[in-house]
Amino acid sequence: MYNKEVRGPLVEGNKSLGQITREVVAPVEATPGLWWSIAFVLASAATIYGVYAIYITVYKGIGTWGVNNTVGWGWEIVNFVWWIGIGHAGTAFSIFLLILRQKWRTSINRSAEAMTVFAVMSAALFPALHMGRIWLAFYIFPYPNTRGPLWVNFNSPLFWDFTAITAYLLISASFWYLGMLPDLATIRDKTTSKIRKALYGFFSLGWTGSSRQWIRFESLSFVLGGIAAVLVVSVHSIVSTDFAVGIESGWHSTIFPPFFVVGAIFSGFAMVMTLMVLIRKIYKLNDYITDNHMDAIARILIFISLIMGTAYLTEIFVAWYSGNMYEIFAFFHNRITGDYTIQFWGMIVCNALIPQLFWFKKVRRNWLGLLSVSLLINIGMWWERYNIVITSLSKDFLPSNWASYSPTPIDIGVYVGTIGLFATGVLLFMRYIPMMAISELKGVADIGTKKED
Amino acid sequence: MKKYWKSIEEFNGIAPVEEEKSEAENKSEVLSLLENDFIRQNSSRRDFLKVFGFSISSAVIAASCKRPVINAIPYVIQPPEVTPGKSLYYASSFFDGHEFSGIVVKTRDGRPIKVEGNLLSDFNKEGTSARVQASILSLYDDARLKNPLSGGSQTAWDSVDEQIINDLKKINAGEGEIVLLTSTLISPSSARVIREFGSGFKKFRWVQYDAVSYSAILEANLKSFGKAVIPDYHFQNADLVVSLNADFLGSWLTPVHFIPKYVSRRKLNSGEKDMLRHVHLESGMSLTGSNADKRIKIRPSEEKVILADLYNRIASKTGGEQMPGPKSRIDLSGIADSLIAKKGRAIVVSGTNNTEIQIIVNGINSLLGNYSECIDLSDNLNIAAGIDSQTEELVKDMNSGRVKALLMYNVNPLYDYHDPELFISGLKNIALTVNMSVSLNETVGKAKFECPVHHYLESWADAEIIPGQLTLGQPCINPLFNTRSFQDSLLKWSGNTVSWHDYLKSNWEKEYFPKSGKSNFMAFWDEALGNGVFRYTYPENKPLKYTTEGLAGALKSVESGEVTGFEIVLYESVAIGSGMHANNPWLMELPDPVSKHCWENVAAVSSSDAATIGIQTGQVISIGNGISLPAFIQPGQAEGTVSVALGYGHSGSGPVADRKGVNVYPFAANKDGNRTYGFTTDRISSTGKIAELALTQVHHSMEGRPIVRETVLSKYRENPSSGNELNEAFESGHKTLYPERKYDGFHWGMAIDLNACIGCNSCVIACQAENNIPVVGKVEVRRRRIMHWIKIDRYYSESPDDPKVYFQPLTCQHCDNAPCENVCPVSATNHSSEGLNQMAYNRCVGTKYCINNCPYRVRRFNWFRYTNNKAFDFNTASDLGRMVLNPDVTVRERGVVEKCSFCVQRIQEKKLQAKLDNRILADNEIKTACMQACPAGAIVFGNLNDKSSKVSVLQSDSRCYHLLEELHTLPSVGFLTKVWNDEEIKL
Amino acid sequence: MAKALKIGIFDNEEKFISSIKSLSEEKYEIVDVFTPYPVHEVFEVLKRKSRLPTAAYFIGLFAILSTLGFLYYAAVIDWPVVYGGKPFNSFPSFIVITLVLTILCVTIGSLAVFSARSKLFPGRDNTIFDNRATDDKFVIVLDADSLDETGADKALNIMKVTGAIEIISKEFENVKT
Repeated sequence: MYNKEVRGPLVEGNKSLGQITREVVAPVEATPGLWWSIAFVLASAATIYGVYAIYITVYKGIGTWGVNNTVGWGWEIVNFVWWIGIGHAGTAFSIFLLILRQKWRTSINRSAEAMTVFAVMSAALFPALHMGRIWLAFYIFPYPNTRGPLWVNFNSPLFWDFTAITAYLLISASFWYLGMLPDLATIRDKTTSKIRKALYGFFSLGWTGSSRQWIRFESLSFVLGGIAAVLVVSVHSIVSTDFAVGIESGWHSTIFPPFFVVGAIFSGFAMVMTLMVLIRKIYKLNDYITDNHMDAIARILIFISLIMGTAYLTEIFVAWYSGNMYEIFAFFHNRITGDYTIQFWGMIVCNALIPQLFWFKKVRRNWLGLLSVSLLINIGMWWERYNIVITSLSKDFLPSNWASYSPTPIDIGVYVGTIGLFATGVLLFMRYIPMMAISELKGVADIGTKKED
Repeated sequence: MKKYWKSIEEFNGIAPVEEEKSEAENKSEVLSLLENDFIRQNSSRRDFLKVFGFSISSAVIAASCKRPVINAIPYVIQPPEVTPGKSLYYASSFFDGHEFSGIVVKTRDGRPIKVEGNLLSDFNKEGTSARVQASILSLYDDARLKNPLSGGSQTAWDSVDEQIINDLKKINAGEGEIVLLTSTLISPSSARVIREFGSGFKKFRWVQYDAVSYSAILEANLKSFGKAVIPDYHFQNADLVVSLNADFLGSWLTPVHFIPKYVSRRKLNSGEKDMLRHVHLESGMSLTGSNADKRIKIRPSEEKVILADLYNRIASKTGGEQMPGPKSRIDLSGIADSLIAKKGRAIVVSGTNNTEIQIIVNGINSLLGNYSECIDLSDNLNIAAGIDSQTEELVKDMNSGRVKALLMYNVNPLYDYHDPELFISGLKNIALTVNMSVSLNETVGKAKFECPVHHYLESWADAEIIPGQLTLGQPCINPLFNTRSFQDSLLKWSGNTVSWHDYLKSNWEKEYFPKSGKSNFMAFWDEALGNGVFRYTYPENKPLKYTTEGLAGALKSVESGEVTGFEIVLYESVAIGSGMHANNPWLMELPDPVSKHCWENVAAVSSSDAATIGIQTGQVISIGNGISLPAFIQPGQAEGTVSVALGYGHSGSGPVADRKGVNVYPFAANKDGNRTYGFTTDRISSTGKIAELALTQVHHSMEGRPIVRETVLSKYRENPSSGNELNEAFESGHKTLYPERKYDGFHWGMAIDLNACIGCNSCVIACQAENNIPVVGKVEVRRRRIMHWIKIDRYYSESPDDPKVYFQPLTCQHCDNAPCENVCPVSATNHSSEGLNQMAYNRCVGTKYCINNCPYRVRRFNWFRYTNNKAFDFNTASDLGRMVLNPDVTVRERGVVEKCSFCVQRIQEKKLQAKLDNRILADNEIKTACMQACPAGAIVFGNLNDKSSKVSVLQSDSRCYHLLEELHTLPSVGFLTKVWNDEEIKL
Repeated sequence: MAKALKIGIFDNEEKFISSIKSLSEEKYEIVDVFTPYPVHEVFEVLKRKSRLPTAAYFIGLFAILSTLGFLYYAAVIDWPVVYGGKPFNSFPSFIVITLVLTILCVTIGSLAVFSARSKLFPGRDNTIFDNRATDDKFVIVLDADSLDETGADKALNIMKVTGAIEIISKEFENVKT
């Protein structure tokens, strides 16, 4: 269990329950600052660029991308895996810590889960877009049809992928919403404006905080937590099968499922950290998201980055140890050396080496240090996916087929667009939803239990 | 209460009930007549729903996406022989003045859609070249002339004829000379037409002009044997071939005729232990050079020295008269000894258009007595008849004003003559100029009259490619445009009223019917027309006497002076050839078999030269004066030489041909009596510009992977499976989780003999024609998005300066454990009960996962809509061009994956035929397009379950292996190891 | 119909709990208690139980069986297709899908059960006895009708003693909880 003598209190500046409510709800009640508007405009601009790119893609064809008959998957799949990875933060964060009864999750899980939802939405765009005939995307549903009925291919990792991501989106969204109920109710009861009362009243589904509701609420969140934990592990394992089931050297590897899951949580936590650092800075919420919180995340990141490093080494070792000439080529002549050294070494440095800086308390306690390292990790994770997807494809079994790949403005546009989408989502979240689970904060703030004397 | 009444009857209380009732009845009757539920006066809920449903559905229909309108116009009178959906085959012959093939034309609903080789024509059997395969598309070329032109303006045939006849009369009256300039003509009946036409005038001259000239051979043979002929080379009888700059497998003379003979001595099937040894000396890396057992790099200037040296060495050993000259820098003792050892069973050829060189070659061959079996002067090849000096003389006379009328047929001197300015200035002097051309080209519009002629598939023809071997050509479609065959024009202008068809027929009746020994001419004619061929024994077959005339001079003229500067070699590319068909997108996108670039010509330089000049592949260099081309570092290119392909750089031959590369014909000037395809310059410099080449393969090493497995003859003799040891190891190592699938009935498979495949690319175009494969254009090829279902991979080994070259046709391997099938989420690709890896195009959503998961990368994606899309303005963009499409094969939509189907439409067709005839399908009855077109017979398709089938026998051969078999994908395609002949024949 | 209720409001978890304890010892019928965050002692004292996990378990069981059943029907019985030389019933592939779909069903199912049992769905307006309950106050609601004068006073007294900062007696039209 959590020991505050060791790690300091979870909520600092001993606050009363009412104070917590006020402070957390403040951003929702207040009109947004200038920075918010600017950020929102930028995010929307990016989104619009993305929409344009998507329009061109759908109108003209996938040919507007940089992919070719050798490298059939390019940036789109890289970004897809990247976003899904980031999407693991929230659920992983809140659920694992929930199951482990790590109470310090309370001040972070809300935003982490929000992030998940937006990240998974961004991710889900890519598999749809990379279809040559997106207007027939419904073929992937195994629905009774007049073609036989001809069902889908249940052996295809893409189909597993499709099911997994759909499920993941639904579940993380509902988990997130469930957690929000009491807080929405709080706003409903506190707010003075009629419209807010009506809106939040509607969306709080009539939450009153009665003991009956609470007990069911708790058991439900444990049930969901329990199974969603399995899902978190399985989703990225399934994403990894897109490659692991493939025959390409550099794809066909049994290490992928755990490796991908860890990588996902890695990038997810990094993204959480990025966001938290910013939220703290902007909303002055240091009392709730304390240095200890950041410290805890940083420690986790060191640990995961060590796992990542080990995974990279294992991959390379196995490639060598297998004696398979194609594997050896893929790793030693196409990544460690060869045409894709930048991506490979970028990945190693950003994911395995730089996080080691967190061994130093100075870095862990310095918001700039935290921010830059977490950003570098995210870049590193993007490079990792680039390594896996593109290097393997561009130089595979028959040298006569070897071809290089480079993205077009449209590729880039779609990516920028998803970043815009994500940012927009997060900004709206900051604006309209309490960024922390107020009720849970109160639960851990142990105020009521204070003896008065 | 007051009573109101409207009629007296009502007032009297007699209500007009009857009327009312009947009225109602009438109404209901009328309505029921209408049988329309929802205008009954009392409409029920059910009716409402009907109306509602109807309106909704109609709204949906109205709003639903627009369907393309397809006009199907039925025959007014159905021709008896045409069954819709069934193909008709017409025997015919292809000759474009440069290349010949006996062919069978597949027509569907009255339009030719495919050209196939004619098994009955001994000249080429079923083999066809890429250009012959592609010729079907030139028929539907929108750039063709559609009407006769007079002074550039459209007019009617009658007026054209009238004017021309008058002009001819005038000129003839004034004793002016009338000249007919044609490409080589091998049609005896046309020759007769021309003779008759000429006889009508006081001064008449017929000049045959070939863009790629072989006049040196003709002249040399005239000197040596007193007969200006091009001999036929019987490679099948030769044990040793020494060729110099003669790309006889790629472009020289008639490859489609040579390849089967050559390959028949390279194949090692059925326990064959001997094979022909081939030594090749050349400058650029040609198809022939890359197939040679031993390839020696020489500069063009060295050739004469080498030949002279070789002659003297052989003469010294065989007691011929020697004329010692300078020695060549290459040690020829080995070659000389081998040649002598193989006396009478050797062939020495040179591809250089130089009379003296050819005389020396004749000398060598006659010393070795090769004229008995290997080189045939009596059954010679009429493939080329142009004499350079005659063309020169003509142009001189045109400028001097002696020529008063010039009729041109199937020539394009303004493009391929070495001095176009001179020619056009001469043309201006001439009163009457008529141009008769099939397709748009540079010369079109320069003459006073344009009399467009039929495409060969629209017109009658006969040809005598080898004395005694006749073929007929028949129209397979009505003329698409207002054109007229060249013979018809001549007949008309010579005042002959008979049509060309009747003329041809009567000529055959006169000439060949008697030779046939048949009683009834019509029977003879029908048979000849049906077969497309007719053979008779040619009268004079007495061996020709060799004289050493000119030999002494030739040998004396040899000087060993080292040429300084770069020697530029102008060669005929395998794809485009002489450039006559450059407006054919299929050919334009056909990669060169060796360099693997398309859509333009490049300057092939050796790596060492590139280093000294300081250039890399893709950098534009300027050569001599006026040529600036992207450089291409070609392994095996002789140092100090640069090779540039002819036939590109058009300016007025149609949208596809124009502005692609540079025209280098003007640099093929006449030197000492012959047109010399090459020149020397010391000015080569980098322009600093970069051109992105359209390459279909950029990596050339096998990276030590067992992709093409090879061995040498000596090893093969000891152990047939030498070089293929891995096969055993891999096969024995296979483990499987699931039981392997068994196929009862058919299990289609293919065997490709890498020893037979010479990489000529015919299969590529045959496949493109058969399977409606779109052309994607230069930019898309650069992006590595070429669509060819079968491609020929080319690998180099050993040193980049002097590499060994390997060809490997690669198409869908139809794996029984296909990785692509597992990963398709919508099951658009799956396995048929006959072992085919099949694609359901209309199920494909285009995830491209299958492309990624295919270790052979043989799947192609439709990145854009290639059909009916102006952005890809090739044949499929116009209705005319789309007439070539094969109705048996779906035209793929944008966003779907496509790939080789083993020509499943052909499989089905033959299966159904066999079922109708109620018989077992015979082996080799089904021929995939690639197999059918292959002149080398390197591809064999058939049923693997039938252990006696040709393909099963080949796949059980100890040379057979599967590509990437270590992956256990269980391909249905097997490859047979490449065997090099390493035996150095010594005395 | 109208309902007379006694509402005790606390601002301290400890006092609130002790109050509940003593009330329940005195066998008073507590309609319900409202807290800004879950307080586990309350559940123990009021013996609140949830059978949601059981429900979830059965939903899951159903999901597994039906998914596997469907996959087998579609891939083996209804329209068997050969993919890459695999047998029609390639069970390993089915496991993945079954797992994911099960999780999905359980989530949706238990959400449904939750919203049904605790009457939570969009637009539902449960009676709010005191709107500070979602902020910082702990609220006990007693049914006044069920007890006589003395009992009522005693109950109020207990709440006072245990430290309610405020006690309200109020009539509520049709109570929804």
